Amino acid sequence: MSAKELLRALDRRRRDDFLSTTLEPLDALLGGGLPRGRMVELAGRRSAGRFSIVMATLAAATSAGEAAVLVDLGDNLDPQIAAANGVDLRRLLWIRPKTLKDAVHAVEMIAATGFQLVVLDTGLPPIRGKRVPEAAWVRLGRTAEAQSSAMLISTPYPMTGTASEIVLNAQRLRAKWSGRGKSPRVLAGLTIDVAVTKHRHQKEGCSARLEFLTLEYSNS
Amino acid sequence: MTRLASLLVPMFPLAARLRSEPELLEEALAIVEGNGNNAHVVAATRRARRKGIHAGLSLAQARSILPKLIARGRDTECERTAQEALLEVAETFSPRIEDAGEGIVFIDISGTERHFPSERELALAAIRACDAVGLPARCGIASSKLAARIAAELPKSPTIVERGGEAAFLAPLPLVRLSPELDAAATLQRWGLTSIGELAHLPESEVATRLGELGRELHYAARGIDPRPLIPRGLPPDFREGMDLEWPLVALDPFLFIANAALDRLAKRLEFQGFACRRLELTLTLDPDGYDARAIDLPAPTRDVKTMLTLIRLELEKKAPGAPVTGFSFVAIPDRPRRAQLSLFGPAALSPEKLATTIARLISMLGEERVGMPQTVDGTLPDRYAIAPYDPPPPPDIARPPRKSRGLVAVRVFRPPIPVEVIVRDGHFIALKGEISGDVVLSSGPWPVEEGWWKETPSFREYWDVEIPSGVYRVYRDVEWIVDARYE
Repeated sequence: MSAKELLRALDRRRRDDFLSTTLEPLDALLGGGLPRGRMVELAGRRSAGRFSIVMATLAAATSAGEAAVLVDLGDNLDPQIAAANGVDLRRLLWIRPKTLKDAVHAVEMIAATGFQLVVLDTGLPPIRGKRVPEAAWVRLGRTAEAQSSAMLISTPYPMTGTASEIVLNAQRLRAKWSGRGKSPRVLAGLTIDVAVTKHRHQKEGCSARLEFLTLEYSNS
Repeated sequence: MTRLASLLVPMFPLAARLRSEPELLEEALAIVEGNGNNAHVVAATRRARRKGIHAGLSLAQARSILPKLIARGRDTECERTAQEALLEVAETFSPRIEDAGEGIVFIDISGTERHFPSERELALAAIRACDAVGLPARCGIASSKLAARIAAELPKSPTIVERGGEAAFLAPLPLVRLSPELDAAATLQRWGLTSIGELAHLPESEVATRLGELGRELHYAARGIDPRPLIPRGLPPDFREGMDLEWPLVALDPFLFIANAALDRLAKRLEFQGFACRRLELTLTLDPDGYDARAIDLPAPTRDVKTMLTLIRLELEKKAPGAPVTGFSFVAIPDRPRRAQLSLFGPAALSPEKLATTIARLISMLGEERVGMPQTVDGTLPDRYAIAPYDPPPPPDIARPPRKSRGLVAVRVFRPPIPVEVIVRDGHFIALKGEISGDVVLSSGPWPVEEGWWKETPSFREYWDVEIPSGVYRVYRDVEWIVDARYE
């Protein structure tokens, strides 16, 4: 390791206040990526690309050698798809609680161990278990701050109240299909729109368009 | 010249009991030995001694002096674990130690001069270390075992006997310090001898002629000569803590309350030796007879008492012992705690012990199959997965930029899959009905997937991608139509 490399690494670390999702439009919308030490909520209904954003974020963190945890309340993760997305499964801790209360408790416990990325995906509505008090979300935000972890809460509808630094709203614009006429039609991907509905330090209302391709179409 | 230190715990049966039940320290407590009319006091707390309770009194006599006296029988399990703890403390000062039993240990301290400025500092450090494991010890240092032990018995601790000064040190002390046999003690008293020095001044041959071999040994001892060498002890067998209970316990919470204290002691002992617990073996003594033995494997070596206690609670809740518990013992199988190399330029490493403890608590809360590292499984059917214990590789030495995302659509798998009704007209999907319903916008398929064609019952499915207003779903046909995932 040369001194030049060390200086460059130090410089990168100093500037690295954001965890890049490697989705350029989304990073631009967030001002560089998910802010470390802050909680970001991503809300979106069915097929709104929430899980694709979660996968991309997990892939970005684990490929950089960082430790990530996915608290998967809906038990929806497919490790094959995650691996195809570029998630380094060896660096991913997968927790599958049964209720929202357990999920929030698990996030609080595991975030305190120093994971660089903590993702809570609450699955599909209706969310299993009762609602948790807003104080619990505030506590999660504080834990993220204390550990400098990037925390992403993915929910079908806004839940975290005032505790989140940023709230994003995702919605599906359309599904992309390829092929017409006699050629077989193939699902090519999804086009989604992500808008900022709350940001503590920036103007709200900005949005970005993201395109995700299916694995089969991407390989063809 | 060999230098020996002796660590001695005064009133060892009492000290061992108080180590297990520290709340009795301020009470009028007596440790008794024997049953019924033969029960007699072996040791008593300061409060009991002030009231006139002393060793040798029968329990009935003691009770007549102090009716509210708390009496506890000698607990061999407590004493054994206290002795183990004492030996472990001794081993942190030198690998050559001798277990002299009943709260006494000899340490060969030759060669430790470089580590301590003086022998007195070493002795003070040893006393502090004993205090840390709940044993009030005294320390004596001399060139022979006998002189070291007698030095440790003196109330002023530590006592250091200079090299070659053993005879001068012993001379003014009363003869009883040599612990002579009762017959010999009476004879020596008749001779008018009161101090060790007076015995040492007598001619050795004359004492040997009158008292035999015992007299010769006493004369040697009085001159500070102790030819017995130090007999080094082998490796400690295990880390064990336990207790015989006064009353049988039938409920879990009181047991866990007592177990908490025992685990706390065990964790301190492990910490002292630089170990953590990899596996915890629990043996319950049942009433009226019988044992219940269990073993709990920990996800990673840990010394966290709360975690161990939670796992014990879950184990006992899963399968109750089935009879009242009259005693218990914990044996910790030690292992080196995992250490992480911290990185200056790369991502911060997780603390292995903290991570292991948290994962153990999550497993106890959610179940083993719900916490771990996801793994892919070979095959062609979707949604194949396995889960393995989480053991991440160390982070890279230098922070590296993340790999650019492939931007793939993720699939949200439904576990269990959702059966639906599919309306098909002229080979085209028209609508889905059921838990997921809506008119079909577009669909594509079938995409055949086959697995295990060489088996008697191979798996064969035909998949469709179906878009309805509420989302894009993955559908296949088995006995009925199934939706197993959604593109999201």
